[in-house]
Amino acid sequence: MNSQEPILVYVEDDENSIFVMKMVVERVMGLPTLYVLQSRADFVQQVKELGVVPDVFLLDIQMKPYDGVKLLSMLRGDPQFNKSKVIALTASVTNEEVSLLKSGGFDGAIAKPLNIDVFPDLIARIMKGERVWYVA
Amino acid sequence: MQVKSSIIWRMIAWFLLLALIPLGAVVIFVQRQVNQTVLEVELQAAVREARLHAAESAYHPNAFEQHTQIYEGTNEVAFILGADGTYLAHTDPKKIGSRAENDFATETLQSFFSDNSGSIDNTEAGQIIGYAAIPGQNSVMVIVKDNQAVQNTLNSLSRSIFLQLSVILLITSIVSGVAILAVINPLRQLANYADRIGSGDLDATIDQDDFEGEIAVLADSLTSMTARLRDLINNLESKVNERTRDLAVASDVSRQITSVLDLDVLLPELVDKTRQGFNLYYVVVFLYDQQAEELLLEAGTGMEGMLMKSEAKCFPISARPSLVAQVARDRKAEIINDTAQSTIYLSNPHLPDTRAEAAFPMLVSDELVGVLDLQSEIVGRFQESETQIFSTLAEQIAIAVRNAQLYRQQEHVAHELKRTDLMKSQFLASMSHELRTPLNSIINFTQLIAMGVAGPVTDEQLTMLNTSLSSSRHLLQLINDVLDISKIQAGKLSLYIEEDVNLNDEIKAVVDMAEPLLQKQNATLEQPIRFIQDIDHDLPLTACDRRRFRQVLLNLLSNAIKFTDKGSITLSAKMKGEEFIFAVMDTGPGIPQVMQTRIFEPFVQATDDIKHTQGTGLGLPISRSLVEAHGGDLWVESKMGEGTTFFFTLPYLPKTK
Repeated sequence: MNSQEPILVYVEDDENSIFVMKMVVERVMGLPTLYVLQSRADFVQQVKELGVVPDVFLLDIQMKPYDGVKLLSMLRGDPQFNKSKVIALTASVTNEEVSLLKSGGFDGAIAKPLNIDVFPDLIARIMKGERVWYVA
Repeated sequence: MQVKSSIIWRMIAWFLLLALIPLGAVVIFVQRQVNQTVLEVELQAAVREARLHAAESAYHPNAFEQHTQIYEGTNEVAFILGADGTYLAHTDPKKIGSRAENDFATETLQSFFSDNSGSIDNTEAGQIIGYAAIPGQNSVMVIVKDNQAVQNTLNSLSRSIFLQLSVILLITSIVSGVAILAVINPLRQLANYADRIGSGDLDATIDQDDFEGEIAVLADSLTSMTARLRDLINNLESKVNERTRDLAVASDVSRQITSVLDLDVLLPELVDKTRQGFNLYYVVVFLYDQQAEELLLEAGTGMEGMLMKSEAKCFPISARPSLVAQVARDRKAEIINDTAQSTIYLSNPHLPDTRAEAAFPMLVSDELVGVLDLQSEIVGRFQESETQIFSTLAEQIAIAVRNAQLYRQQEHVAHELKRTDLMKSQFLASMSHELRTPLNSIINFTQLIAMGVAGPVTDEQLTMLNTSLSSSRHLLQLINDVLDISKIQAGKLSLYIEEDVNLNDEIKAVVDMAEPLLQKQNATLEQPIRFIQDIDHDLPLTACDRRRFRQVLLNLLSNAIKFTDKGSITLSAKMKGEEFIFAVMDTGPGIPQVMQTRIFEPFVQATDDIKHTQGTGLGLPISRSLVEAHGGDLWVESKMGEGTTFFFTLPYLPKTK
């Protein structure tokens, strides 16, 4: 794990969001690449096919057919990714949502739409092992 | 009541009174008459004697002693009285020549000479005096007879009569008394018997053989009356028991009615209880559908009931012949005590044993709720006496049904309200998302371009992009504020309370957020504004909504920055007792008194200055609501030309172990 160049996996179905994230990660944060994966039954397979162990998974909660929660359980089923941080990206930040995410096993949550200004800092903190709940 | 004083004594008293008085009167009268008569006779005798002796004396003047010999040895006296008032002759020789006025009153002496002959009643002295003038001589022959003996005889006679009569009276009384007793005793027995019965001892008896004649008839009447009374009471008691049992069933049923609101549970139990309690063949409740004008079977007892319910048995209210339909039409109870004789009875193949049927309308304030129908295999089962109970039962079932229906309606309404409420929440939530998402895309993309991510940007382009960005941010803030205010007004604002919030950390974060704003403001001023912090170190951990706390503090800080063009801004945070008190003090223009309350109203700003209208006018009302939701207060103190201080408090809520 290279904290200078964390490997990020982004799972999202909205094109604009993907575009923005790519811009932020590659151009603003200067990371080599942002891996974008699909919400599919073979999700774990997709991850394995990357050939690297991602540092951070950024999962959109509201996807179909498999939302972030489901993908999380898929990931947790595979010991290879135990060390990876799984962060939920969520638009609705009700109290219930946040406690559900916390108890669901996520290592953090970041509110959607993305706040470009703070995002790099959040990733840094996540890489340091902090549980970030940026739901403001 | 015992026979206190026998009427015997009264009767005897009256008897004696009524007999004695006339008897006494008669005796006295007779005695008087006898006395009178005897006296008359004696007077006559005295006169005759006097005349006799006067005549004798006239013929034989010296023969006085001879013819008055008879008076020798007696109390009686004879004498000749001369006109000069002296005794010319006297049976007591000593008296001869003495004056008579020594022995007799003057009037008496005078009367001797008044007539030829006569008599003088001197019975007070015990004397009867007879006198006769001696013919040829101027003298009077007087005979004084002794009345005492006669008196005594008379007295003893009357005494003896009185005694005899008394004895007779006594005997009569005794005899009468005995006769009366013969009557009174049985009467007294009957009186005691009647008394015992009157006191409630209906089992008292008398021996009819003790009585005779008219009294026997009376005794007989009394005993048969008693027997009838006993029967009547027993009859009444059993009727009361029956009625009590009916009422117990009815009250049991109505207790059930009031405790159960679910018709599907209530009605089947109800009809079963009614059937059992009143020992009927079949009980059914029909409910009336006003729209369809039909009576629908809702609950019936036994297998027949279940069967007919599954058949969804129903019929129009106009159906004929049908007891139930008729009762529904007329809204009046109807009883058929012999189905074989009735023209309105409609037999039911499922209920072949019905011989009597009674239907009662179930009404709630003139509205027909349904009909209660009772059927029995016994002819004549439904009597007037039970009608009241069944009518009341029908009424109560009507009320229960109505209540259950109303309850269902209410449940429905409550459900609808809940749904609407839910829709409101969902609306607010989705609006928030729908509005923010495109705006955030705008902001993000604009940001990215401005950052040079998509290629180099000229200064001019940068300025334009920044304007675009700030406008978008402003719009976003406005949207957030409007959504917050909507939530607050809809009562849907909920805090996300976390325990053990470190206020010092939060304050620091807010100060960091406000830093750029301050920088920007200072850039436009000749003299930069000083930012002073007066924060208590180690503020204790407390429970609050972290995000909202930041929102409030940032709001106040950014307001201060926005409206201050000189001097300083001071942020203080202190612990005071059981609450935290925060203050944001600025040396700006101040807020006029009239505006100090109005600034907490939505969309009201303290100034019309265009520069400052970058705000939304919602920040303060939202902040106040947020603070108050935490249980604190937010207020302002300001003096024109000197500055403004916003205060707010938060209660200290440590983690409860």
